[in-house]
Amino acid sequence: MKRTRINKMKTVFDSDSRNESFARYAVTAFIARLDPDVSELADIRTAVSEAVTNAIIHGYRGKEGNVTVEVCTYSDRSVRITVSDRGCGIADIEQAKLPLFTTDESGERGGMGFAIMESFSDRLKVRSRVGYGTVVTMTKKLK
Amino acid sequence: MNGNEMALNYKQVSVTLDEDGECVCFLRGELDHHSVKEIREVIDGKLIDYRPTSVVFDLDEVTFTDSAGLGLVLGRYTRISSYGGKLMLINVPDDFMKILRLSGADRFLTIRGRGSKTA
Repeated sequence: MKRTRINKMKTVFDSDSRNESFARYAVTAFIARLDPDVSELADIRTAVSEAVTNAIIHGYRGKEGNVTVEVCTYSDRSVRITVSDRGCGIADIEQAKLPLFTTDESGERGGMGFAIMESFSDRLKVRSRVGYGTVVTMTKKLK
Repeated sequence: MNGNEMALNYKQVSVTLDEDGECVCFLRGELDHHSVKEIREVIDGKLIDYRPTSVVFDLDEVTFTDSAGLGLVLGRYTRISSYGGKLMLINVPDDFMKILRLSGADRFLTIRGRGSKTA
């Protein structure tokens, strides 16, 4: 049976680090109707947090901009989350996805962002163009 | 900490130091890139001033973490190890443990309690 879309939401907010928690709450509130279990919810919260943090600190690098989070839920209980920015973009996506790869020189960021997004979702897709921005799409099917 | 203090001045980290050089950092709430900045400053201030030989991070009341929490732990581990001190994590929540395992940090960190239990 072909899956159909049940519901969709879109939220746009400033690239301010205070909005990392807002994004997590918005997404978890939206998918609550699918009644995800505790571990599914924890995985989604973490994956969203990583994607939004990346957009704020790597995409915009402290500059002002908009981060867009879109969530679609489907009849087969899958959830698709898209986090996009119009920041600086990623030159080498494969390199950025490597665990422990980081452009941060303070030693305080572990370079685990994409590894966590990949591991905490079923599918991760990253599209990016230098100077134009990045779109991260994560899909997870709930039990 | 008493109830009033908690309500009026919610802090995500409280640090206690004893005469034997043991330092306990009690962390609370959500650890993300935004919130760890302040926590890091508080802990690093104590590390610089007192150089405690034994540091315990009690994560019992941590309700969320992402790679920023991992970075907080690993950054402090590096600092504490650099002067010969030891770091131990206690009461690690399951989702925090999942990130420690994914990064491989569970193999060299000392972890006791909750999620650290292996079957």
